[in-house]
Amino acid sequence: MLSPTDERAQAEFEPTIVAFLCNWCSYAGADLAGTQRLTYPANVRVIRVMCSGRVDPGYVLQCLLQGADGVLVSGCHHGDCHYVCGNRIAERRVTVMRRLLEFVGVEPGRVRLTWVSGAEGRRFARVIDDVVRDIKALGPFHGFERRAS
Amino acid sequence: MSVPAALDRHLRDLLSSGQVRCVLGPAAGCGPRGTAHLARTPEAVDRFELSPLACANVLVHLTSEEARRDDARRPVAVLARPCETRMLNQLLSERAIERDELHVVGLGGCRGVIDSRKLRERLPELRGFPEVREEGDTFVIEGEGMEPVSVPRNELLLDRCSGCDISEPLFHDHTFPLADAAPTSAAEAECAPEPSDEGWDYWADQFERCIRCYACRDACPLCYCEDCVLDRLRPMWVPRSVSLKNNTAYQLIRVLHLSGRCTACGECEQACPVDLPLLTLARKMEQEMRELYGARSGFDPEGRHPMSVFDPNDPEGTDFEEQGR
Ligand code: SF4
Ligand code: SF4
Ligand code: SF4
Ligand code: FES
Repeated sequence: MLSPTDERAQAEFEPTIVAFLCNWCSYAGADLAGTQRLTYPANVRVIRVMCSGRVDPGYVLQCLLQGADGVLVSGCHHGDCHYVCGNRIAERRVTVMRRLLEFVGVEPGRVRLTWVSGAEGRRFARVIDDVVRDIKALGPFHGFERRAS
Repeated sequence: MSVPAALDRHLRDLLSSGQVRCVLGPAAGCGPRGTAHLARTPEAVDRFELSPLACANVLVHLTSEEARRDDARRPVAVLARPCETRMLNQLLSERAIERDELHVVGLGGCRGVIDSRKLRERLPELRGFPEVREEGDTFVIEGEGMEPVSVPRNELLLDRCSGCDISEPLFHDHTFPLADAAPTSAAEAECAPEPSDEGWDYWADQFERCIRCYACRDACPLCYCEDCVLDRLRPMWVPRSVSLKNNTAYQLIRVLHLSGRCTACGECEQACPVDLPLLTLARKMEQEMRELYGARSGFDPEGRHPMSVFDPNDPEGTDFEEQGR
């Protein structure tokens, strides 16, 4: 049960989220969301990569180490990856990484994976809404430090 | 003490005929523990030792300069217990070493080896390398100037041995039964405890103790990268200073690099000077890889790394759809 002050702190908390978007689909989707003038929360810092399969778990870890509260990896839908199966490899990597984080007591929900195509501006805005809301609910990430008690 | 006569003869033949460039295997160390030994001449074969106490991280030397230093591409002979043939398989599947560079002398009927740290805790007065006999469910330890002591096997077994489900080499060029091998009794085959989820507070206590000596990486037979990300300064994947945060990053990267390859041999944990529960992490990831992708490292010398392939039936990695918005 959150105390009223905690609740206020949580309501004011604006998470920092790093989003790795693949050049061919998700980045184009984000672009479309922009040209369609859709609004979505401004918490994401976008990094464009050539393919979601380009995202080494080490990148995700770096973000969490350097102050991100959450990380999003987004690529093309299954079967649409421009490098054939980069997104399937990303899927395995993210899944395994989430299992390891969970085991050492870090909420796996801080690392998210989604598929957004270049034609899905609306979906991109919804993905960001969803990710920001979920990470807000998790609260600030301790950045692998001791929790203040 | 040395190895059974037939094996001794085999190893000497291999070396004197020039069929192999050297033999790698376990030997008695200084004090009650094993060490790795590399024999280049037939005479040096004398030092090999197969007692359950002579266990050492032999395979980490396979990919090292020392074992490879040779003119021709003659194979290295390895004395390998069953779990070590599993690690060899993994190294073969990664092409860290080629099959024709290996001559595997498999040791059959393995019932597990002794953890020298547990032995020293149990018998701190031991000096030198004691005689060890296996009698039913006990090890009989006979140290210098000491009465023989019987200790139940399960109090001394190495952690990786409890729960081990292979007792014969997975492959070999020659095989020899271990001296007084007897089938594993049912009581021992019970599995190692499942690693449990302990939460961040527990793991923070652990990672905080790490002194970043890099021994866990150096001891791992699969950490043979010439250019390791943990050493890199530019880009610096893991900041060098020792702190909870950096130690955690170090360990998570190491574990992720080994997920799907690690055979849970436990050498990382054995090497750690501050006893971090690294085998727990290794076992957890081994279990996850099996559960998620049905992948088991070290059983298929032709196998692909599970992180470099996919299956159309892979479990969903995205949970956006499920939340139905
Ligand atoms: S248990 Fe440790 S030493 Fe053995 S393969 Fe796994 S990470 Fe490497
Ligand atoms: S930690 Fe990673 S990069 Fe370093 S040696 Fe091991 S597998 Fe290679
Ligand atoms: S062996 Fe132990 S102390 Fe050394 S770097 Fe690894 S975990 Fe840290
Ligand atoms: S190109 Fe978009 S995921 Fe590979």
